[in-house]
Amino acid sequence: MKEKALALLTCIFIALSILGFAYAQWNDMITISSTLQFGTWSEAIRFVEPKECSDNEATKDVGQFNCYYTGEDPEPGYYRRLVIQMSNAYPSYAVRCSFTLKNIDLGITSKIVDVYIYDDSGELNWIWTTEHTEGFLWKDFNGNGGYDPGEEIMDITITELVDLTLDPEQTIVAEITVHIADNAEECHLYGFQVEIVYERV
Amino acid sequence: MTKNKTYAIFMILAISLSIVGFVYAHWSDSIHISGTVKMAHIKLTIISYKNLTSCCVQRYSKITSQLSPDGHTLTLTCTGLKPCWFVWIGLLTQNQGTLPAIVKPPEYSFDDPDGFKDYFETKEYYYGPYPEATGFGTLEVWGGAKVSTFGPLKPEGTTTFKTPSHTPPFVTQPGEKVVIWIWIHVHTSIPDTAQGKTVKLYITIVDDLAI
Repeated sequence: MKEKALALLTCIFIALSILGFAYAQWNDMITISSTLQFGTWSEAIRFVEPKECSDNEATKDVGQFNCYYTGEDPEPGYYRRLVIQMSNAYPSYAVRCSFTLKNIDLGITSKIVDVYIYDDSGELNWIWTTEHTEGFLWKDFNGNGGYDPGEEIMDITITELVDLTLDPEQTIVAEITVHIADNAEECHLYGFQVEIVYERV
Repeated sequence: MTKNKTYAIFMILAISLSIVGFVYAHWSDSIHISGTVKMAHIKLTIISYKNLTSCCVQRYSKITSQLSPDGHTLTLTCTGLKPCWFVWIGLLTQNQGTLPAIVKPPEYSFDDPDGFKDYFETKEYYYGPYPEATGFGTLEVWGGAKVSTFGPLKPEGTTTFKTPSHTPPFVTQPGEKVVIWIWIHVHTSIPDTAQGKTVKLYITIVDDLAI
């Protein structure tokens, strides 16, 4: 019985070898090619032209401002960052900048889920007075760890962006205004960041 | 056995959450607005000063002056005060800030334990503003200033400069200079107890934002 089984296995082995050899002699190649396209979603919302900036000086030219896009990604014309520079600023000086956001993805809808404003140097702290649209940066002048009236440095107002959905190729014009408060210090350099967080829908 | 199962479940959960976080990170992104604000400053400063009086006053009174390190306050120390004592103080001021500034009358204060200040009177005359590059050595209201009964700085507190004086408040642009002449005089009503004493007088210029 054992010998029969061994003979059967040997026959199968030889048959498969012959079959493989025959196939090798007669085969050709059929290629099934496919491309797995992973979404380029991480390049979804970008700053695009047009943008427009102005200040609140009607006749005088004391304070100066400069606004520009930077960080081109993934190609020229699409930017990751809007830079607002104010110089020779004084209390009550204000700069308004309108900018354009575009969902540059061709197939995925994106949604803005949060807006954060902060000073990454840690000198200034942020408080929203109207969630997502209005607030101010303040400095802890008296070192008590909390905000006290009279510690405001600059007020920032931004268009409501949270929960905004942008379909592929859709654009939206938004606006940010930076207003210097009375307590801003002379000869001082302040910085702030506005982070607009979005995700796929 | 139960302990091992709990540990295994915990590990699976931790790994799952890590993977979810990693995937989420790949499906959320952000763009930024970066801002910088460089603040201006306002600074009206005394860059030169003079104290002038008549030969008559110089005989009995010594007048010394000293400018504070920030250039805002001139301190006068005056000895031997008498009725009709006077001094002309010249201040050459400059807007060394980056903003237009308003020139206002200076503030006076006294070290006067005996209430001397009630017996002082002052008058101010303002000339300018002059451009930053103006040479003051030959300027009528500065280089040519002297005390004389014929002018331009008269003992009784008037001036005869050809240049008309300005009335504050007025605006100086950054870099511009202004000449201020201040006449300080002691009334004839000063009591005998106050005569011959020494007084310290502080003259502080006042700057204000002109926007």
